[in-house]
Amino acid sequence: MPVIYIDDQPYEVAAHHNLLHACLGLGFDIPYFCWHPALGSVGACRQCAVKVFRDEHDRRGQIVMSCMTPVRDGLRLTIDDPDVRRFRATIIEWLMVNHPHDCPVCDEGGHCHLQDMTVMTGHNYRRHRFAKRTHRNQDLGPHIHHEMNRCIQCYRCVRFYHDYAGGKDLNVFGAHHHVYFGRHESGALESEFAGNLVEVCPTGVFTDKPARRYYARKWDLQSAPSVCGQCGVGCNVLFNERYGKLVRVDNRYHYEINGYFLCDRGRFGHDFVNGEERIRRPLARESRGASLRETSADDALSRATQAVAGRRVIGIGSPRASLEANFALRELVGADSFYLGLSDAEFKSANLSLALLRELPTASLHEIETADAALVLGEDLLTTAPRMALALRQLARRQPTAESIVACPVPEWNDQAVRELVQQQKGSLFSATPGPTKLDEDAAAVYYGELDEIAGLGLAVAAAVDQPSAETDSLATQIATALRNAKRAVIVSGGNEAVMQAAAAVVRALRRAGRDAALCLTQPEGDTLGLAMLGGRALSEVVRDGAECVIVLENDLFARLPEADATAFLERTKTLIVLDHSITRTTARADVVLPAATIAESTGTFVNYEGRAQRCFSAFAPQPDVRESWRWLDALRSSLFWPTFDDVCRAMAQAVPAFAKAPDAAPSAAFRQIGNKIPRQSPRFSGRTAITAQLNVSEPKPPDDPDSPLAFSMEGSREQPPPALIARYWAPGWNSVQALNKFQQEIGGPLRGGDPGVRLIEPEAKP
Amino acid sequence: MLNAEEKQLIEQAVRHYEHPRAACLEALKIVQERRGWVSDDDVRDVADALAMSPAEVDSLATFYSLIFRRPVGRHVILVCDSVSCWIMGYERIVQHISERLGVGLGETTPDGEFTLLPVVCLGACDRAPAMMIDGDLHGDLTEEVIDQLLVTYRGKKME
Amino acid sequence: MGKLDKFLLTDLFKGLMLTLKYAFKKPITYQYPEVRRPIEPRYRGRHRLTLHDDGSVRCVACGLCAAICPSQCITIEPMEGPGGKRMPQVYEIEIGRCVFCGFCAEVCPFDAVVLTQEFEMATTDKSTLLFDQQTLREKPRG
Repeated sequence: MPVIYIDDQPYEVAAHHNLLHACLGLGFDIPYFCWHPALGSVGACRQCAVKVFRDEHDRRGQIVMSCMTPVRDGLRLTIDDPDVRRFRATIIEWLMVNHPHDCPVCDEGGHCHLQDMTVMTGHNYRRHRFAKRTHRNQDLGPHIHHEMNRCIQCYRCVRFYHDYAGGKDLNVFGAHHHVYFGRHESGALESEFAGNLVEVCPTGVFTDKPARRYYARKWDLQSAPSVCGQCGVGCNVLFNERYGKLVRVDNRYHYEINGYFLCDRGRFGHDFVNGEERIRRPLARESRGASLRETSADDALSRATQAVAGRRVIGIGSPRASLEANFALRELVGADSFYLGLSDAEFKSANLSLALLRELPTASLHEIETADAALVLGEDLLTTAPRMALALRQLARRQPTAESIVACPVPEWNDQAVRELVQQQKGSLFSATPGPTKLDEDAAAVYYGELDEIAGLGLAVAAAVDQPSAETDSLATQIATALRNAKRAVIVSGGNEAVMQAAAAVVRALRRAGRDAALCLTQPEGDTLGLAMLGGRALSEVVRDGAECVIVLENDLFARLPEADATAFLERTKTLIVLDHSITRTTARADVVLPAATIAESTGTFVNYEGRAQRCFSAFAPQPDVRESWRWLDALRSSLFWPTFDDVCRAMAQAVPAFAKAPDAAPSAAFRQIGNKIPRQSPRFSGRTAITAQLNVSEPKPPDDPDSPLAFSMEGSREQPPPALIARYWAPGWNSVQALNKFQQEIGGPLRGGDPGVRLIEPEAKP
Repeated sequence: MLNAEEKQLIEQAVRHYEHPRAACLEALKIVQERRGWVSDDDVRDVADALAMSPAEVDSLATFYSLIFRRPVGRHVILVCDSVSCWIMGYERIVQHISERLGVGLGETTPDGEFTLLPVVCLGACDRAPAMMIDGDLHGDLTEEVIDQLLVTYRGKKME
Repeated sequence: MGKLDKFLLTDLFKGLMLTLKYAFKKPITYQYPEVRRPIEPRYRGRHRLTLHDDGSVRCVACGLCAAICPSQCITIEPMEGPGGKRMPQVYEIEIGRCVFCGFCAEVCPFDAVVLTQEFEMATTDKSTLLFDQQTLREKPRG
């Protein structure tokens, strides 16, 4: 590893980095704007200036942009030199010439990279006293608010949206002093990843529009680490709360899964937490035909307990509820009476996925990004697992880069140069889907056909991998050759059984040929795979079996069963108990409805598509009558077994061997850092003592949290918590999300202490 | 909508390159030559013809100051404001044209005859101050020369 | 101190002399509330939300006062007012917890919250010490 000298002190750094990346990784603070660990360098903002010296005798040195300077052995530089300090302060001053003085009303204020960098460079007073250039803003749809006057022309938005995510409708217009970032005309942004502009933009040009309704500063938010349940990828998110409302969902960095970016469904799809449809009080009806009325928790519980006592009760689980909730239901009704709340197709696909994952290795999103070839069979990933589609796009972008830079050595981080080199070349990404998808434009070859035809193509590829022939004109041979030539190949599939089998056949063939290949199977919901691992009977059997009393856990039977079956089944049921957070057609027919906490208010474990168990923690305590589903189900039993989350999680690990490692997904509630819990609130959290003063001037005791090592408080450990418990990204001088740099082992690498979560499935075939 | 001739010319331009998008600027010039300027609809049509998004085409169109995204007069006067011309009396020249036409920089005369625009350099420092009307370079400008030129062009129809 | 002084209670008489002296001077006690003590110009009393000429609050609900408040007694819920203008929907100061440090006024970028010289806020009911936006807009008494 090369050694560089910063102020004559030697430091070992990785050879393939640029100087900015290396210095930030060493813990030095260098201001920057246009550089992003995932986007590389373009040298647009001139902010990251440092001074390098020819040798140890050179005292004059020269100012260079650290993001555009490769690391080399023996490089001498200084970051804290009066010349570069003045240079950086001047650059900020120029940027500030047109930046409005509107921090107090800006939604970015408090977590603004530009604010941080301005303070860091020491540009304190502005001398510019003239008119500023102004722009008209565009309406960019329901998710992104546009405030173009704040722009500092770093080009990050276009580089992310257009280059990284492949969005076509946002671009940069104009030149010199009137550069404009926006759309060709007003209208909703089309990309599935538009929400990332909020975090990518170093200032307040693109801000979170739904969050604007609640207007809260970052320091006022109470937040907790969680997992997105909108699909099976299991991206890590931070839920942020203020005044009992979910204000904003932020990306939570996970090196192996979502990295720096989320899809819009994950970022903007959790509004149901504040929704009008929320069930906030227990509901019960006197008799069939009477309407549902609000009732007390005790009354609802006693009704439910009576209905359950001494009768055959069946339980219907849910792929959107946590493992613990499903396990609690299974314990309550017995394994024989536990039905997975999946439709027939989902049931078969989930069980097949599980069998295949136990046989063949799978790949995380990071492994997909860095693979050399990929084949998508039958899935429109931008609908079923958008973040995985973004990872595949990176594969398609990276792979020709890797080839080109062998011929013409350009560092991979030098984004503009690499793109000049690669031009329109496409990587070894192949897609076979029933119809056109947005991933097609990144694919080297595309095939459209019915699902059985796609399965046929998969089998043909597998055959061609087994027996390479000279004939190259068929698509299957072309794909097989690319897969065989790849150091690591990934086959992505999901949904249909035949197609999944074909995908597995390709992986098996590649492994027989001694290639490193992995199988990725998408899952429709946050806990589909976990539910399959827990095991239970198919929902279609329930219609045949019937029961006097049915408990439905966070599920809508009308979405899983054919309409007639669901209606007939529910009519035959004498007592229907439903636990859910929002009104559905099933809750409307229930006799007792117990209000369940949403993912943002509960602690639980979810298993993603690769079999990784991940813990979500409640960002805020639910309202008094709202409880986590496993709590309700425990209360339905004759005596309480599980007072805390750890009890139910441990019981599950003991009862179900597949979940033996599930408690290791995150530290238990007993975890303390220097004797303290980890605070959910920032030290700057405002109004703590007065926030409920309109109800009672006496400050109430903050809610207890017996389930997690996090506290509903601003008090607690100020140390950097273990990765599974990171509730916000903040470091001294770094209020924006860029503080993440301080949480990683190396910039853009795994988090300090290892990425959270634990893989539960060990495939027979070793990768 | 692009007419048949424009479509054919754009197709011809596309054939010179490996990727159709490389012909974007050519296509915009083809449209502008025929229509005087490039409207929002034209941007969309060019984008369709080259399998690009309107945003990508517009990004290019707005970057180049000589692709006009707003209507211009029948004759476009480009007055050089670079150093040589500035030393040789650019300000006087602009003021004179403005007075004669009754419009400032960036404006079009009400009769739609002339649009007055500044340009960074015409490469005619030896004949400074210089300006360009409809692609014809005019150097060593004086008030008299300008008056004469304006009369000439006013009578002249665009080909 | 000598034993003699102690025996003769000299100190006691000295003290009584002082008392006697002041008995013939003008009293320095203010007969509050009839007589009010002059207040120093930089005295920090009850808060006030300053207004624009049109009667709207200057506050834009940026949250800096709430953030800097050491006793955490300021609560702000922002909203978007007419014309997209940002303003506080709720602006409450729980004066019972306030330590009148004046940081809120110091940090305010718009001089929207100031400390007046009013100090008469004594009450027997602590719940009346929660001052809402309407109360804070009012001009101080006296």
